[in-house]
Amino acid sequence: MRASADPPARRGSTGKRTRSRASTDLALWASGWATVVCGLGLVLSGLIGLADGAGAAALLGLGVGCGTAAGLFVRRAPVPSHPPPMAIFTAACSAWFMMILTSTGAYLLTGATGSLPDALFESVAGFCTTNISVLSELESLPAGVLLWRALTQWLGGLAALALLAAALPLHVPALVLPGDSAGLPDRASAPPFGTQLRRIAVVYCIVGGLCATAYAIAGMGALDAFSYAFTTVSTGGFGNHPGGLGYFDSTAIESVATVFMALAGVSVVTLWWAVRGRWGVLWRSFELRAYLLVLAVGIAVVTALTWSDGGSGALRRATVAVTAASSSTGFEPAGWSGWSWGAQTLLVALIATGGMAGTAGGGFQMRRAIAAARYAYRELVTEIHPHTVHVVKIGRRAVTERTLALLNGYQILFAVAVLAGVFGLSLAGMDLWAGAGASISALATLGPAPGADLGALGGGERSILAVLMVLGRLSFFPLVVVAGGAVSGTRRLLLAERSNGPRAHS
Amino acid sequence: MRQPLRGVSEFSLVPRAPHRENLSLHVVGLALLFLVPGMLIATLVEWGSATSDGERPLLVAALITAAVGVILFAGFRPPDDVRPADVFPVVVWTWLWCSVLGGLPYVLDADVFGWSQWDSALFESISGFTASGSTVLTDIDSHGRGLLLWRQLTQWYGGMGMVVLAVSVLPLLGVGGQELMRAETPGPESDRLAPRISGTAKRLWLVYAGLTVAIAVALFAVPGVSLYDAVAHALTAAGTGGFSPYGGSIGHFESLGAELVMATGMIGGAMSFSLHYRALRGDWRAYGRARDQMLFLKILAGAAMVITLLLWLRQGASFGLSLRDAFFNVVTLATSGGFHNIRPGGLGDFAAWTAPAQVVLGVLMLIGGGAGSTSGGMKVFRAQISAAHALRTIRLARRPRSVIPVKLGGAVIPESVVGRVLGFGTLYIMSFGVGTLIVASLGADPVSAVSGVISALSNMGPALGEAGPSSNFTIFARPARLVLAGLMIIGRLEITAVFLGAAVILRHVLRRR
Repeated sequence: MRASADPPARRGSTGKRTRSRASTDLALWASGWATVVCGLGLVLSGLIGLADGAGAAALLGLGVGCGTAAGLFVRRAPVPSHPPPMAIFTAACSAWFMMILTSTGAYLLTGATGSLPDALFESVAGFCTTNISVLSELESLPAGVLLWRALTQWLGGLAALALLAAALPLHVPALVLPGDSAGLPDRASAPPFGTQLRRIAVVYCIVGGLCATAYAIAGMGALDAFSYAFTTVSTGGFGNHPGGLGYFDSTAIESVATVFMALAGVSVVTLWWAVRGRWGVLWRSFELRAYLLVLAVGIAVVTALTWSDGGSGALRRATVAVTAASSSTGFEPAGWSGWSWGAQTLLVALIATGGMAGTAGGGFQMRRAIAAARYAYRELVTEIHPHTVHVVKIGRRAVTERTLALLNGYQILFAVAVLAGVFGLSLAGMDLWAGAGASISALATLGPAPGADLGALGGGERSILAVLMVLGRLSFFPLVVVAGGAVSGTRRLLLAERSNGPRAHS
Repeated sequence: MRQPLRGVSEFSLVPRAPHRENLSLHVVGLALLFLVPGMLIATLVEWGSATSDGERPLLVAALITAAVGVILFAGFRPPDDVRPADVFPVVVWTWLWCSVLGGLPYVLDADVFGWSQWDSALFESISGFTASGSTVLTDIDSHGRGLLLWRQLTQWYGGMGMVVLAVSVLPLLGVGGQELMRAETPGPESDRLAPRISGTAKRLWLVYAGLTVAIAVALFAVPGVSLYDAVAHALTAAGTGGFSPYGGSIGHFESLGAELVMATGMIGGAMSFSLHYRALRGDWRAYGRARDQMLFLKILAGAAMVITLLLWLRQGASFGLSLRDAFFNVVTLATSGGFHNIRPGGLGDFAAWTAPAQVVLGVLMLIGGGAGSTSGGMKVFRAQISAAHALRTIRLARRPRSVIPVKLGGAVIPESVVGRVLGFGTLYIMSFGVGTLIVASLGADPVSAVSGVISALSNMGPALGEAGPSSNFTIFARPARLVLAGLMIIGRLEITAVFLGAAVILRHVLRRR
């Protein structure tokens, strides 16, 4: 990464121009690198695809072409050393856009689908680590395409974690709250972006490798093992076979999936300290304890509520379903739409809550939920003791007022997005329960929802779900801020034109 | 200034000064005494009714309530020093005691619920006092007029609030009165209309009574509406309650006039009574200055238009019919009124409307009416602040170091108020989540569970799904009904008072042990 020497920000239009330049440079740099990484993934998929031949040439050609072109461009692209938040958000949006565009091209060129909307939606779902697929007859797809499909989720998860690392030093705490000793580091002690990215990649690859090995030992073939490992550790949920994990009908495979889904819901920073051998950090993490408690209680309650449906098998089903829902991994439990209403409602609540902050998963996330609960408690105490100063803490660290303000804003945006999603999906033809479940599930980047049949989605439903997935994947702010900036920029331009018009005429 | 003797007030029937200090029970006693006239009026109506003979349970309930009220009011005196924490148990105990004793007529009458269904009686009573309007009473039309009038009166009492009523006459509450009012009055802040807080409470009750009389007169002028019907419905329209002595609610009359009068009455009840008072004093522009109240009216108009279009275009109804039913039901849901207008050939059953229209109704139930009114829900003021805060968050994400205040109509909202509103929102979401999980676990389908919980928290009345206006809350299991009744009290007291009241009571109990 080559940092350019930024001129100091100046007041007025020059400062604005500098910020705009930084924004453009970073967006080009990020989208270039995203394309290079996608190119590498395509080449890898193409090489695997050579085994059965179908689609391999297209994958290799696209991978080499995109990767080389973007690589040459990235070498020359200047990178601002201290980019403003707007630049990071623009870069994140453009990187995601480029990845989705590349993947869409891959699906079309390999003939996985002949429809542009289908290819686009599949790519969006992939990079948003959401298990909503519009590809039919999965088992007839070439090996290379199946691997690429799994890789889109793996890359999407990695990109989400990279965004987390990039945004944290710039203090966007609604994205991730400042951490205690077991969570993410706060702004003051945050290591540079490159270091964080390297650590994330190390953890991500180690967990992915272990997962693939475990799947292989449990009885999966090599392609399935890697594909399912990619989609498990990224909390994606795409599978190479219809029916999710139920296809294998293997307790060993379900056990491996459960363990790694649970791990995928643990903060990557917590896992990093565990990799470094500091196990005490795990115990000290309040968020981790809360996450494990939610998992345990959820499994117990769902087992109890579904006991009459399946007796002793209920525990096994409940364990997979609750872990998948909490970590927002989209492996759809078999037959969950027929479970008791209480179990279905609890699963949707778990989907909305999500796992720990600092993971590739989605949802409201445990850290935010804890902070929100403590904030509410603080407000209650303030009613009785109006003059006390009550600091909200997570673990041993105090959460700043600004962070809490952003957290509350995030909570409102989350609720509004869910309601808007339910309204849109009901307009498109879904019933209320299916719409609510699908809206929450898409926003939490899970995918399937109890009661919702996502097998045959219409154009309107797809568009709404795609927007919700992207909003959930980018934690709202990048997309909302960039869209808001674009709208206000356009309005300023229009106003400037209107005010300049008569003068120019006169 | 003459100091009254400790514990002896003009309302005390026992001349000896009581020794035990307990503000809660003292206020509870007074609130219970206020219920007695209502029970006696209902007894008289029942006695005068030719079709039923249920006056005895009502009379016995009145006597028991009066006896308990006298014992508590005279047997306990308020402490000399009332701390802010003391007011929350007062509010919680008052509502619980009133709900329990207010449910006596239902259990004493074996034709209504009887002792075997004490939980249903408690549900009905809580639904009445919280002005919710959800019912588990089946075959409503077959019950006595006196009992049904008592049912209506519970909503009238609860609409403005029992504690506000007590504050209006208690001479002792100089310290805790403001806090008591704030703990019970819907909305973020209670507005002072007089130098003394008891004066404010009196004025609020006078305006409330005036609105009730105005609705009753207007309704009586509608052809086909008897005096009994007019009074009974006016009591619940002003309190945005939703109970009706008829199973068909307002649809029973099959009259556009009755619907319009009720809708206007509900809108009046869902707007700030302080504003009504100021308007009555000649300051009509006070309405225009209250931006949240104006926004509430705009929300009503917008939602009515959207739903009219949805019913017209998606359900194939005529435009006129769509407009009529959309307007009435939007008003009844947004004001947390809870009436319905199911009639032959109409579209009154909103649980059968197209799904997007039901989503809009759900949002209206969540938002509720204006601050300082008798309506439930989050209140428009809180929704405005929450929206302004969400916009500020987006700006903060873009410019992390900037200082951006929350503004409404050009005025900066203090951070303490914003914090209180956001804390309320979080507690609301938590109550909603926990309530929904419990109700669904007890067997309710998700749509009924979610909408039932929102309806209970917003003191609305009917819900969606199986608990829609054509049905009632008997579709919920009996334990689920108690949970919903608890949520009604939580919603009526705007969450904070209940949690704090419960915490203070628990602390007292633990300290005694």
